[in-house]
Amino acid sequence: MQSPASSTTPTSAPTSAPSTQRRRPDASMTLLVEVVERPLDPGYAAAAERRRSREATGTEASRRGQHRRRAVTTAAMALVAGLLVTGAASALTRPSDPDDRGALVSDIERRTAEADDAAAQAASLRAEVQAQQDALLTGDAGAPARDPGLLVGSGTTAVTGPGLVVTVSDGPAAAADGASDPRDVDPDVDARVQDGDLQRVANGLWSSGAEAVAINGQRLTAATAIRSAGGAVLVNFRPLSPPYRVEAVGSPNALAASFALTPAARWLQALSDQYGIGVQVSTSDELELPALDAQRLYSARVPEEQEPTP
Amino acid sequence: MIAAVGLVLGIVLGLVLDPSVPPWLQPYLPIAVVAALDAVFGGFRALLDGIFDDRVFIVSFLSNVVVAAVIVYLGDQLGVGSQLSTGVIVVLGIRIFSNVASIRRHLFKA
Repeated sequence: MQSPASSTTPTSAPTSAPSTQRRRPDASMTLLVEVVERPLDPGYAAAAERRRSREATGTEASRRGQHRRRAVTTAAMALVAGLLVTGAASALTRPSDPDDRGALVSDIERRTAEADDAAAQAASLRAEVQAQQDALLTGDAGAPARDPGLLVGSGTTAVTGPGLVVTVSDGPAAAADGASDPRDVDPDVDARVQDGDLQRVANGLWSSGAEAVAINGQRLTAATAIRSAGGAVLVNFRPLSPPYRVEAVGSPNALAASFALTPAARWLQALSDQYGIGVQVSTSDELELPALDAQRLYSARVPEEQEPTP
Repeated sequence: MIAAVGLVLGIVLGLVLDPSVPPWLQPYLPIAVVAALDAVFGGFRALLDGIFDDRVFIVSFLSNVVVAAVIVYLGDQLGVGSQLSTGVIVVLGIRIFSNVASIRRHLFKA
């Protein structure tokens, strides 16, 4: 009853050469096979094997001493593991306590400090790049001229000069209604300065001939959005807190005269009359507007007349 | 036996001292707990197989925790932290499930 084909099949011929054995269909997925088929740590089998061989060969005295040493280290590691588990368990259960916001607050503060550090580093690197560019391009007649107006308009450089300052602060109803913490204030209270109010002021200042505008040190550029999130006003995605100090660099008297005629000035007047929002317009001889701290390159091109030099 | 004493002592010490995990370590705790669970189920299965060894268990437990946390930390530094933690969870999850299936076969013969 012996079939001639049975001797050539790999299952019934374990002594045949490995090259003739059929490859497993999942041979290319050894990692997954390993994970699924051998989930138990092979260390257990190895330890059991060692124990068996030791019991067969080892002498009584040496086994006793070795065993004690191993037991002590095992106990020490178990102590560490227990400490670890308890620490992890207590740490993982704690944030579910709604009153404990300290961890979150400290996390936010830590990350804000990191962002500030990164911004400062970016500013210093930017200054360094600027200096290198200047050093390279001095004396080069064919160098592309940098338009200072473009640099100011894009917020790439800091701007100093005289100008107008419009300070807008929340009305007394908002202050009386909410707590001192701006996060706890109801965002729908009318006496609060809204993002739309600041948008109008900024637009009014631009149309009055301002060369550069910043709100609470956040430079406004063509790509800046003044928005609100919850109760906070965001400029350049940075939350600001009242009072909002809108600074505009330009000829102070001309700015003040034309700003008074813009719809923004009438809007501020209405806000002040209806909701008691504090509005203060003053001129300043020396304003310092920082450069935008989160700059990104939107477009770049190589000047056409420049030949690539080998 | 002595390992169990050490474990209980460690838990009591943890409860008494109440060690606070530093905030930068806390994102790695959940994945470390999953890795520890894997070691626990592996140990339980070895116990039922009759080859349990306390030393192997403790070493696999601690190394599992540390390796899982290090992998996720590395992923965070490389910008693929969430993907790597998903990978670790999937692998450990498969191991836990197959170990639990084996335990179930031992206990219920089914």
